[in-house]
Amino acid sequence: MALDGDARNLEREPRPSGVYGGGVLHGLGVGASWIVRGVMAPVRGLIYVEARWGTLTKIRKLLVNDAGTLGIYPTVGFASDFGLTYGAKAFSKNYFGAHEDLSLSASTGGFVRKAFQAKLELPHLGGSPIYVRSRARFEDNGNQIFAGIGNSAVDGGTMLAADAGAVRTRFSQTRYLALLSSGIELGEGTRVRIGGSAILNDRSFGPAASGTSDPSIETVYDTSTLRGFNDGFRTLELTGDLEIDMRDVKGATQSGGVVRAFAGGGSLVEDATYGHYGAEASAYLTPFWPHRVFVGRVAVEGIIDDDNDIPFTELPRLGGAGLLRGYSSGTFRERTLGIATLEYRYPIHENLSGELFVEAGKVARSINVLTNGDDWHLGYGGGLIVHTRSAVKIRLDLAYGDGLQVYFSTDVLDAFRKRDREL
Amino acid sequence: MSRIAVFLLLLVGCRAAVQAQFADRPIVTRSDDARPIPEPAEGEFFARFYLADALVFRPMFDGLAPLRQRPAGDVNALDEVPDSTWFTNRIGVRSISPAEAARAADTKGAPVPPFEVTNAKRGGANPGFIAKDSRGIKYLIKFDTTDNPGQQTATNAIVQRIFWTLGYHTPSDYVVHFQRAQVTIAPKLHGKFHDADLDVMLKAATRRADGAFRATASQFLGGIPKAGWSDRGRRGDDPNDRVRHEERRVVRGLRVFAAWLNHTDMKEDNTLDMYEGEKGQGHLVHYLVDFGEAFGGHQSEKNQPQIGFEYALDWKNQSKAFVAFGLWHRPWEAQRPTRWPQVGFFSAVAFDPARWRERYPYTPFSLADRADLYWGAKLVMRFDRPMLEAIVATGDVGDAAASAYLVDTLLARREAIGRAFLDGVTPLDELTLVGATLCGVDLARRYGVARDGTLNHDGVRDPIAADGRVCMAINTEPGYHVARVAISRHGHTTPALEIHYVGGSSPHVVGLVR
Repeated sequence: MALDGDARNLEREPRPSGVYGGGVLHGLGVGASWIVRGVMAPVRGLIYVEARWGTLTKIRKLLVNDAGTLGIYPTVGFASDFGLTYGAKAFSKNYFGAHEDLSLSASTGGFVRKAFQAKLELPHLGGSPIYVRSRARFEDNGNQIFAGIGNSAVDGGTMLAADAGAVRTRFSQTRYLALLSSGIELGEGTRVRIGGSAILNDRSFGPAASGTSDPSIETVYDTSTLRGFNDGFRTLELTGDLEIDMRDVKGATQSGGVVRAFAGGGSLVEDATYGHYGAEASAYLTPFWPHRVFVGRVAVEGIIDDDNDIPFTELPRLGGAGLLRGYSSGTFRERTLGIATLEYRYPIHENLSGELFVEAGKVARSINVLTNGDDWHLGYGGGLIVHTRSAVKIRLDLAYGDGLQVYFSTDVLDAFRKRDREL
Repeated sequence: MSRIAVFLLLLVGCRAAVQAQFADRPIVTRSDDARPIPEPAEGEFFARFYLADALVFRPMFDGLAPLRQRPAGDVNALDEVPDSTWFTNRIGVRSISPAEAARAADTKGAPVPPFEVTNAKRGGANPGFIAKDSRGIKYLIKFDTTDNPGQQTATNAIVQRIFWTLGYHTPSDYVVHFQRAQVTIAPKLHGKFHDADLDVMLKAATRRADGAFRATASQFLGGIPKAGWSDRGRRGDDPNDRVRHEERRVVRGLRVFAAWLNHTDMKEDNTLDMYEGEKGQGHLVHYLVDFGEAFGGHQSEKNQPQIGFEYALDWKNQSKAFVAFGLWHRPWEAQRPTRWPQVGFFSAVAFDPARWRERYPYTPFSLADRADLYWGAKLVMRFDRPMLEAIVATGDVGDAAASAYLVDTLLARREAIGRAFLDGVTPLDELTLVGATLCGVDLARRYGVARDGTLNHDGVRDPIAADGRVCMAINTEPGYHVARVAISRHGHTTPALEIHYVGGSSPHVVGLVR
């Protein structure tokens, strides 16, 4: 017998072997490695602390009940051109046993100076397929973007046309929102949702808050020509909503498609009325190897406003994550918009896909103008999608249009997903 | 290296003055690592920290300063692994009958219901509990996952026996069936674990036609558990542990067995150190545990066919996939589950032993050198059909076709292992030195993974027989000699094997360098 590791009967050590026998290069690598170790030490240490003592779990236990149905947690978000938004959200999810999603939230920074919201959603009212969604929100936005109205100077005739030298400006807005939507949602494979929404908005406007590099709106544009800017306004919009979701799964989608549409009327309370409609269709195809998915999407949105007195914030807007990546949110606004997207997704990891996309979008005074001409704005880029089989957790898009834009979002192919919040 | 260069190297090597590398001492067949030690600390394992290290931090650090690959430190002069608290040579050194392989570590027979639950199981993906059988023997009872009835229970029993036959220390695992009425809860658990809890657990369990529940019964090991062994470094509180774990052949060579069995869930908490013996007089024995996710069970449990081909976070392959924009059709994309729920993603198609990957990077696997892989392949090649049939039968797979598929696939993957790793060194084994004639067996020829071959020695080329046997004349003048031999075949010459021997009236081999 010999001691462990001493069984080779060696008189002398054999020649060193292996792929790295030392040398300057290895020495440099070791040095670099220790530097990286030092840099990463706090992160690694935090993971150890969490794994060793369950710190995050303990904090979560302080903030959320054991069943995960009642609690409060911090929120954080980021948007190009706006920066970091942070806040807190208190929630009740099925705490009362009605599958309710009730939340109260407050946030500041970035998109808003301050915002407060109360939300109640009942996806299965009384166990039925009837859904009810309601939301009340107050927000004080300091840095909304306005870059004129119209697709380009050739449109002409709009209230305040942007031309080739259109200047991006900022304005502030104080807004009260009340939303109620309800309907019926049916189906297991193909899911159909039919319902209606009532959205009440009360808005008032002013110069931009300080802290942006863009000029304030009144220093560039004559705001007296912007309908609603000086006096503010209140609208009530009623629409019928339809969604048919035929996707195989919502996360790692490989086939199927989604059709969404809404149509209805709006009213400037105690004033004029207007019509508002939108439609979007997307299709997912995997024609070659699995998980190489081609997605096509077209969407249109329009306002019917015979009296030409619709407030500027109610005009459909183009730009941002859901409507033309590569352009800032709300860069283009007019009575109609159209967008077409072609996206290609490919697998990297079971929970990570890469994507490349190209989008073309345009706003115009009418559908006829929209479909004529070639003055479409192009955005293109790529990114990463973190997903499970059933849901997209987050996606990062780098897009180039009128500049490089970065987006963190969950679904860029749902043009109207923020209709209730940003309408 | 060209054949001429190899020839010249061999020629020069044999003519050079030789300095003794190996002492002329008896070959060590047993390592003295069971000396009494104080009881070590219990040991800790933090899964999330371990995974963060394995998947993120270590690849980052090691990418800048790659770990040095050193020769195995737990081998003897013949480059074999002595018996130790880590490993007991079984199929590598003696004949094992199919019946013995099927019995494996079993010393007490299969558990005998009824069971009395003494505790609930902690950790792991599938539910279970700790119970005593009617003889008072303690078992960990685990059930299959709902989606794959029969899979993990069968796999546990089969793979545990294969690892035991190879030489590792394992618990005894059995497939058991019992009725609900045969399970009671120990009085000490009243208030903590109820019949309702048990019923919830059993609700998802696989059942036989007569209503009996199917489970794995893993017999508790003797001694005191001291957590798993780390995949780097040594255990500081065990003076017997003198070789860094990533430099142990029994841990590095495990890569070959894990690849063969598609045991992708190889990580620290699927190993276990047990302190055996009286307190203060005992020592640690090192076990492998929990094999239920081998045979592609890990893949089917997570429905992820890439497991076995890529790490969970595979920086190299996934970066390549990112820039390939989907044009790279990866080998695992052709993987399909078998038609039997009892068998996971387990196939010989697209199986490349050299490219096989465990789920979480396991340092000893990445440091395995050609000699380690050869050692592993040599053991795998000793399994034959009758032995595998006997072992697979213990899994009670319940479908003759599924059992046959498992055996056929194991044999096909075994052959792939042989092709991949035997010729990584000069696979000359079973060396005998009689007079001035040195004989050996070319294992690649013996096991049919090579069609032909010639043995190159001192400028002479000896053809190798179909059974692999080959002999050569050597210089047996008194003194220390080194014979350098290599095998040429299929346009390739294997790296030279150094045979160190002492000549004279009774010539004998004192060491090998592969």
